[in-house]
Amino acid sequence: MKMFKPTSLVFIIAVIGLMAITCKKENKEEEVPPTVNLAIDSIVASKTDIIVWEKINVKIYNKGENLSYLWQADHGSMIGKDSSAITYWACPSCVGLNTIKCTVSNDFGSLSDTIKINVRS
Amino acid sequence: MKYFVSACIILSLFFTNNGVSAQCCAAGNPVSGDGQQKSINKNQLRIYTSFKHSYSDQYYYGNKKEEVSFIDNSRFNYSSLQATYGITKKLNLQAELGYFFDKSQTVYIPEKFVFKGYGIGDLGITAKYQLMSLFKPQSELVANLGIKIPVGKFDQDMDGIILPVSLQPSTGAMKYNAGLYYSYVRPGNKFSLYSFLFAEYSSLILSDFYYYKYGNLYMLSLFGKYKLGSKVFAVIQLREELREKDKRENNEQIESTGSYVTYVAPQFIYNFYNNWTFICQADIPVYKYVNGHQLTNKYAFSCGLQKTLDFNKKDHQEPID
Repeated sequence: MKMFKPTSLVFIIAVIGLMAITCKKENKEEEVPPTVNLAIDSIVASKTDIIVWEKINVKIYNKGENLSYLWQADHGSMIGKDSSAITYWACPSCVGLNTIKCTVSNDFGSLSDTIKINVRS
Repeated sequence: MKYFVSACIILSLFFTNNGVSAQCCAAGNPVSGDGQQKSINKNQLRIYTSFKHSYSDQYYYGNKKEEVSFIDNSRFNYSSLQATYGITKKLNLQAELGYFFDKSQTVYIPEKFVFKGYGIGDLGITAKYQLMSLFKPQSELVANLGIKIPVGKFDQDMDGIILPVSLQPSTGAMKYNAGLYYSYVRPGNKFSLYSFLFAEYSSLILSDFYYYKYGNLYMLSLFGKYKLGSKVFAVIQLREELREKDKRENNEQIESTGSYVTYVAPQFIYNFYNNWTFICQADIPVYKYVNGHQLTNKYAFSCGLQKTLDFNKKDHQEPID
């Protein structure tokens, strides 16, 4: 029976091993029910219907101390500095109804909320 | 004459406008590999490490340049390691993994702000099977089947904000590709011809938050290789790239995605000490057509080192030729 040489096997094992190490599962933080220690009231945008390249401000109103913020948009760009407010805009490939999500966390857990922004060309 | 040809190629590597692909707001991702699709023999190991720099600051509408002052530029510095192993005489297995030292974008809003992503890109694994091989004239036909696995980060944030998809080091999607490589070398002739046909299908991005599918990519490359000296080769590649439109929710096509670009890519190959090979390449877009409004590459170049190790016979190591 024809066998692979050890060098071939080492190469195949190395490739499979690399795949196994690097194919990780998504690490999701479990959300908790709102309490006085952590709660989101609302997310508010200065406009929810904008054109390409138009900038808007988005702010989250919440309760709690020692909060950290994580903002995410499915289409478009944002800037901010670990804060409750960001500036959002969208390039031409972001035309459509886009979602901005904000996750607020502290020692009591994390909560998230979303807002929809319509981007026109 | 040969010195003139080599001088032109070297100069064009560093002083011409060139690019790799178009995306709406960022420099895109490198199309992996060095264009050397030649198969290797059983128990040979070919290692290729390279560095690629890409810079984009030209907005296009259709095939016309347009001024968009909002985004100043987008760029990446990417290094990759590729290993190809000859499992049998006809079957090669190739793995490639790269790292973005810098995948960034500068915007003016109106103050200057730089988005910066970095990290491991996608892992590429390709099986190559030699369908045909002839000695006179020396030619071979190689079929490729491969996958790209998004092993790198796709949720990288900066100051509490997740970077846009186009600046994440990983594409976030599984990709499947197929290719066909053909080479033709006449014995004793300094000129040889190669061609490479390539297609890549992308699955949906693997995320609950994003519904996004990159457009399929089709590529046809024709290579002309000229032997300038015993150790020096010059290659001119003509490449057509067609990228279909991306899709978002409800399979809706995204207007400002997808492109058709023709490149001329000069390549310089130098074999040196104990069968090491130095490869340098630039991609020069000679025609660009984009759907809608898109940022396109202004210049890109790559340099790499290659070594083929032969585990069959220590005294025979095959350089590129």
